[in-house]
Amino acid sequence: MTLAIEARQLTLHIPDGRWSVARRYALGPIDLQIPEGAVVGLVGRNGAGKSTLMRCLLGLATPDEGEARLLGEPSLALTDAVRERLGYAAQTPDLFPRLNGREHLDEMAAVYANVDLPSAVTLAARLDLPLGKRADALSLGDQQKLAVVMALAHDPDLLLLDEPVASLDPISRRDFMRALFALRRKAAPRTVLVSSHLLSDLERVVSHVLFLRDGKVQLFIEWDEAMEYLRCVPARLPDPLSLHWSAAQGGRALVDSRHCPEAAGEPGLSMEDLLEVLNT
Amino acid sequence: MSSPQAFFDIQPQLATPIYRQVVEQVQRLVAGGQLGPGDELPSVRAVAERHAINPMTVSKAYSLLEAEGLLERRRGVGMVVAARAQPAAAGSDLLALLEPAIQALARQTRQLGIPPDQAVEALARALQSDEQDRP
Amino acid sequence: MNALANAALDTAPPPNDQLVATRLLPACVSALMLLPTGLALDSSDVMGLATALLWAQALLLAFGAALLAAAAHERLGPWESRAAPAAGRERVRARLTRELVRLGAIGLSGPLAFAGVLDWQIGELRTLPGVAALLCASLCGGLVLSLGWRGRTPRLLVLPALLLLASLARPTVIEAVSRGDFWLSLTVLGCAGLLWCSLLSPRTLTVCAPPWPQPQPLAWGRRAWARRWRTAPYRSGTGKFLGSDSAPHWQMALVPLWFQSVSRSEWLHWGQAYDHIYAIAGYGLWLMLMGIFAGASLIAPTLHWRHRLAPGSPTAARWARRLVFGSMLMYGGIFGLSLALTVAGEADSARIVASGLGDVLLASSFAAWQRGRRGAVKEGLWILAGLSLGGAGVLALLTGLGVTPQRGPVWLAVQLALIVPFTWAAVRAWSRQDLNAVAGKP
Repeated sequence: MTLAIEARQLTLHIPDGRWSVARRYALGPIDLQIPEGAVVGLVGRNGAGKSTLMRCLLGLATPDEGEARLLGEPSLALTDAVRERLGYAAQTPDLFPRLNGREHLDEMAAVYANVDLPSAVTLAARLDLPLGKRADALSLGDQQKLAVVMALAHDPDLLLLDEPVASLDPISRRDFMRALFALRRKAAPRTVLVSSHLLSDLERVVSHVLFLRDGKVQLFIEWDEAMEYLRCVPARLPDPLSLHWSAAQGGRALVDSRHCPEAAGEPGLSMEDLLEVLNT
Repeated sequence: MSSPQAFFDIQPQLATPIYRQVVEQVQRLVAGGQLGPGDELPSVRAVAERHAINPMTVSKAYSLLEAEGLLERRRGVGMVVAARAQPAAAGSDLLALLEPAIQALARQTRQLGIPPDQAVEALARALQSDEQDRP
Repeated sequence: MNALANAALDTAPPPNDQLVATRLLPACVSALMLLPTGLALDSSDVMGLATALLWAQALLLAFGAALLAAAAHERLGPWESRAAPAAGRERVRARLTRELVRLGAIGLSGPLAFAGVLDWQIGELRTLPGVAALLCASLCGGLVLSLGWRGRTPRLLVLPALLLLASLARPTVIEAVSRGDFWLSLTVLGCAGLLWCSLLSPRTLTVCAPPWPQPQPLAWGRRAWARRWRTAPYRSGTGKFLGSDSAPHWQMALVPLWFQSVSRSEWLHWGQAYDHIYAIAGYGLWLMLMGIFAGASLIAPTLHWRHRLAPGSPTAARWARRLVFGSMLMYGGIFGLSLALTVAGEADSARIVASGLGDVLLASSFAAWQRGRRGAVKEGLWILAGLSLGGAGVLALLTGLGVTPQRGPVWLAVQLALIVPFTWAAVRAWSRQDLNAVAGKP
């Protein structure tokens, strides 16, 4: 099983004077192994470090310690071959202000080898994105749509998306989720790392989920496994055997029902419940 | 072609994983007779597209059902219901299908604080009346 | 199909201010320098003016190269933020090279022709290499300064480039170089060529260092009154107001440098006659240049939606008055001050400053008026045409009628008589603007 994304002891220090709370690291140390074909939902509160983690994984930010690898190559020295297979849409859509959507796609076609313009145009039509308007005349939601269409245009093997659907309406979000898989031309499944606050959307499509808190990985687990086996039991005191203990609601512990059979009767947890438990 | 009934009802907010929902629904449809031997199931891509879910989840469900022997893969057609007898046979299989409902009943009984034997009585009554209504 | 697309050149049209700075203005200066050759005039008659034009062209080339480099830096942003393959950077580099070559061709053609004719008349190859060296050096200097400022070339090169461009402020340097040593010129040319090759090699435009902040002249002070004034936004062809970039600020800073050379050639001295065709055309160009810069550097109180909703926000009329008078004051102030500093201590410095101010305010008020006219299809063209043709036309008319236009109190009076209605028209035009449309999206 090849690893699409790998991080070893990835750490980013906090620049001096930024935060006054006692937090030594902005990120890390993080150890991560994401297999090929996984669709990973990156979940955490604001400021947990999701965007920072993505930028470190992509090599757009230099970690202070540790290293990250994408598709087998170190992120800080990606070759063109890997860059061709890489797609990224950031939180702020970084577009060419004076070009319209069609010209953006032409630029992508000139730089990436694998761009299929007709399917990109079809995707834009599905998302209700006008391709004739200049980028700086588009609304923020449309700009995000364009950024996402550009990220998908060259059928990347590894796709990193940072809050791609934050400004989209619900129908566009559904269409976007469909397009993530429907627009795959190659046989091998695509690896996707998506960070989003819209957990109900993520629940439908993820195969793994990564919970991030204060720059550290709290939980990285297959989502099916999490849904089937993770349960919350009331617990007044922290239990060393539990995955996580939360003080809210009189004390709850997150346990794996395979290890604690008595928890099997508890109701299952949705992604939002899990996020809440892990962050309190 | 697959009938509209064969398009599943996926609810991600339920406590069961999506693949398990698909598995259980197929099992129920086959057990209930709505899917007979040789009936085609919708393709992985079609289901994923319809419900905006991950195709891997659907193919995981189909593989599990294939391993159970409920479905088989046919060249050029996709997944079809295996040609085996009506699965009224294994009682334990059917009981396993009832398991989620039983669990839910048990949980609600506990929450409402109803004594267990009263709940069992109510269940027996419900089953009896159901029997009488059946032709 | 992708191969075709890959080969397709990046021909997206550049923004208007870039077009003006990198094609129109150098072309005008080149054309003007070609005039004496074309009209078979004796070159020695117009040496003073030619030197001024050469100096202007050097500055324009430096400025144009800097603008192109800044545009390339911006175009690289989306590629780098996507971890795109090197083909993205390659496209930007290819386009930058093409545009720099075009700028160089336009900018060098006129002066080289002029210098060539001069050398042919003298019979000695002296001016041509000097002129070529000067212009190439200033082009490369502007390029290096802009790239280095943004962290795309080694920062080592920034200081020499800055010194080079600063030395252009002394017209004596221009004269010295343009009549200088043949071998020195060739050496300079060679260095410029080497620099060009290294700057535009395939490996270039990678990020060497974090970019330095863009200077914002009006927001430098921490004073609230300075911070709350912004450059009035540009208007695109669609009628929407878009954000302006920092190029106008640089234009404002450049123009005072022009006065050094201008004052030497007695351009602003009272008694200077404007009946020669060269002088008339030059005056038209001079007004046009000032008008373009004035039109690009209109400042106005900010129209941020928070300010507009707060109590005490200005009405359209009051805002218009602030825009027009503020811009004229600022622009005239910068010019007048730098001109006064340049000619301080000379005999009739007050008169020179007055002449300069007259020209500046005339151009500024006209430009403000044109930019305010809602419905003016291309207000930039109106500024160019109105000022250049109008100014030159009036002078030509007067010359044709037998009156020699001369700088003096009459000249100033005429200008004042024009400034007043232009200013009034400008205030009226801007006060009719819909402030919501001017502010753009909230």
